[in-house]
Amino acid sequence: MKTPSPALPLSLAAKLGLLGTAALVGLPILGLGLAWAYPVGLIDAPPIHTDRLVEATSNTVMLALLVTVFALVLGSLFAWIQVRWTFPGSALLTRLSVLPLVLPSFLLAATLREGLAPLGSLGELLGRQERFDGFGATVFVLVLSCTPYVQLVVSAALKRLPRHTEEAAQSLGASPSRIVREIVLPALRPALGFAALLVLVYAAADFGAVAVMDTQVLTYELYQFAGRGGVQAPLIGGLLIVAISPLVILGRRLGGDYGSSELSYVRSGHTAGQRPALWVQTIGTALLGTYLVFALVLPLMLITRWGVLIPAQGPLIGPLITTAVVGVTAGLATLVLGGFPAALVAQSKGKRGALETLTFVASGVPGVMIGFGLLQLALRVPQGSLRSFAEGGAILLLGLALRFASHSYAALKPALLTQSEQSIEAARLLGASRWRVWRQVRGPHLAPALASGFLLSFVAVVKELPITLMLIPAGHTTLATRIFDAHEDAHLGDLGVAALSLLGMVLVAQALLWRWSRHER
Amino acid sequence: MSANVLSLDAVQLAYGDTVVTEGIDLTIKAGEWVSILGPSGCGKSSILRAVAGFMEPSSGSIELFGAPATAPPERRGVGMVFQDFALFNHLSVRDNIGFGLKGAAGAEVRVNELLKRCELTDLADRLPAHLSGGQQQRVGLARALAPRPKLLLLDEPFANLDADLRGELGSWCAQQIQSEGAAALLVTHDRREAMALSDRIAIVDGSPGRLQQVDQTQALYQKPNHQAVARMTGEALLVPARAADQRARSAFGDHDVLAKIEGSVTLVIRPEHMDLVPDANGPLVVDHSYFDAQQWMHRLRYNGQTVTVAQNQRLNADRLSLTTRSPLWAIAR
Repeated sequence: MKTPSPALPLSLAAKLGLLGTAALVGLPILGLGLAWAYPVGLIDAPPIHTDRLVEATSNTVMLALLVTVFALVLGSLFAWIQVRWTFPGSALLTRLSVLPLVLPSFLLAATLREGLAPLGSLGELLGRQERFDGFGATVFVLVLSCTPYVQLVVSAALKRLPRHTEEAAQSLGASPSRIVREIVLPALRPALGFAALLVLVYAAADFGAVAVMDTQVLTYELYQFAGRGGVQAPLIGGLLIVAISPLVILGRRLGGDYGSSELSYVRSGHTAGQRPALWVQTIGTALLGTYLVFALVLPLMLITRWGVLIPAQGPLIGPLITTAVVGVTAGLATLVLGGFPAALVAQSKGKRGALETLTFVASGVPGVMIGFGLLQLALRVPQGSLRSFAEGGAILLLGLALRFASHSYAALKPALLTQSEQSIEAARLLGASRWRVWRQVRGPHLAPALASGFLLSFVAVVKELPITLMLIPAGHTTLATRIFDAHEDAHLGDLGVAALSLLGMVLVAQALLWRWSRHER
Repeated sequence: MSANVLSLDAVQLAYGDTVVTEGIDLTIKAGEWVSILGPSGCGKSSILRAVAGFMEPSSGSIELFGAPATAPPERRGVGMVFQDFALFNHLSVRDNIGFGLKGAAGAEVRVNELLKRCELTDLADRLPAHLSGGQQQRVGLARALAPRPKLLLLDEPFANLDADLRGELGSWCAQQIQSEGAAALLVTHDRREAMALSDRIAIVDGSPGRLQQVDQTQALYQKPNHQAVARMTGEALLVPARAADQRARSAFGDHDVLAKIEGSVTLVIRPEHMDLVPDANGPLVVDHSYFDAQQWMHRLRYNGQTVTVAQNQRLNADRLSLTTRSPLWAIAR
């Protein structure tokens, strides 16, 4: 009788996995260190003054904090309207309010900057005299970009909040304001903290909007010094780590342990929509409407106008194919890089927190830093087949997979954790071979999560800018880099066509994702 | 005669166009314990929500303490205990109990008194997540009792607890409520729970739920006025018969009947009315027999109905015949 071969001991596999993941996550930091120790570059960078560094650092922190505060207020208000209010058109309005997620921040920034410029389509109409750029404009754009993240996180938490708890407080004589203050807000605190963490990291690590708006923050500074010799770029990279770390700690302090707090409110209660007072409804709807105008309607109108009315300068087929190829291959790479730790964590029944932390840390590292670190490593690879491999796009895929591995991890972990071992044992006892178990039991259970993980990563990859901009092989362009270049060259026709194509691609993937998630429910 | 703390008059409740319960007439006197017993989906929890003020009746009226109940929930002066406990998970046991006493004179004394009475003193500083189900429900009850409500609403409060704890906690709960002098309205689908705790039971059945009968437990068991009431108050075979002059003829023979009704009736044959004899051609089929602590239980099937009957000895037979004892109760059909 054939006895099953002993599996690799879990602790050893986990240790190897931890080491492997740590090594991959450490690559950009290694590149940063090498750039500091052995600075190389075709042109030496100009000297950088302390004042400029201090300004960029304080701008980074202020930008992150301001965007977080405004996005938290707006996103929480929209989440409340979505879950707790019922008035004609409320469902449509709140569904539309998460659609700006499909617009990358650099595209939103580019359309608003060009559209609201004194000679822009809307700027002229409104009689604007000043350019729409700089720190304030960046805060505005990033608030528009980040609000849907807050809305999604807070509305999910609000839906899970059992109404019985609020009813209990009401039956004990608590007024509506006391219920919000003492029951709802403390219960939402983990979700609000988690949303704050998301927005803090997003705003501090953003490259696209700050580059388009010419805002001197650390990510944009690092990009500007990246291709030059000298220690300026690694110095800025180090400062970026120093600036972001306290923000992450602050976010975690605010949120506590989001996952375990959610578990204490597992029972879903009766959630009934309420019709608010007319004046409250008017203010809420006006805010939501204004948000939608700037975050969705205006950008879409401008993109369509430029794409349709202004002739494009160059063909689009190349960037379109490159985007699709990079999106698909990097999406598959994230499934491997995120799937491995997810499988190990699931095997240990949700333990191995270090692996999970590492996966999320990798995704928290700003794209511009990953791009810079890997670029420095590639520059130090000796000429030969390995160098060709790196320059041929492998390093780009590695960067994108590192950046978005957490998307696949988050999609796959729950599916792997909920895979019933008993159903597999039942299949084996019924005579199914290992292959048939995979095909008919494990596979169908994991398929929706694999598809979701892939599509989530695909959408993020095709919208990504700094890693692609820094690591894409010479002579290639994606739709994202085409939009960025077209904005720099003021070719609005190119910008419009590329943006419409990118949005089309994202919307198709998003539609598939919604279909899958509905199927899963 | 004591005053009514609650009166429901022809109350109809609906979610949008869907009526969940209608024609509910019910009164509760001070200190009285009334249970609403009914199957899932008959709208019994909605009745409680309407009394608490969380939903408005689509027709009919509710009076609390002699006045129309129009105040919002926070000013109705009724307490409520929930099936899922609905504790404030971010507050300690002490703060949960004291929540409804904010700003009230003697709040601390009252909280300490309830902590002691509910044997929660040692757990006062713990968060609800660190308590067992039974302890959580004691906190839920103490919290609801703290503001001294004259009426306590209990929405299947023991449904999430295991069977042994359910019985124990139910009796304890009744004692606490009684010692506070509060009236109670319990919603449950558990017949034993309702019968063990209530002065009177209101049986609700159907969809939308309608009130079938309100009475004391023994009266409901012995003289149900509806087949649903007979089924919900205990084991019974419901057998069609023709009745005249307090006699009835059914498939099981002739019987004396208590009710003075004529024509087509349904006889209510409780286990204590049954004499069962093994009979290969008998009409009752023995589905299953098992020993339960002191007696042999036999699950019998007859004409699409099942009834479980306790006997001192095992009946070693596949089929049984039945003769009935004493006068039976009959319901008009």
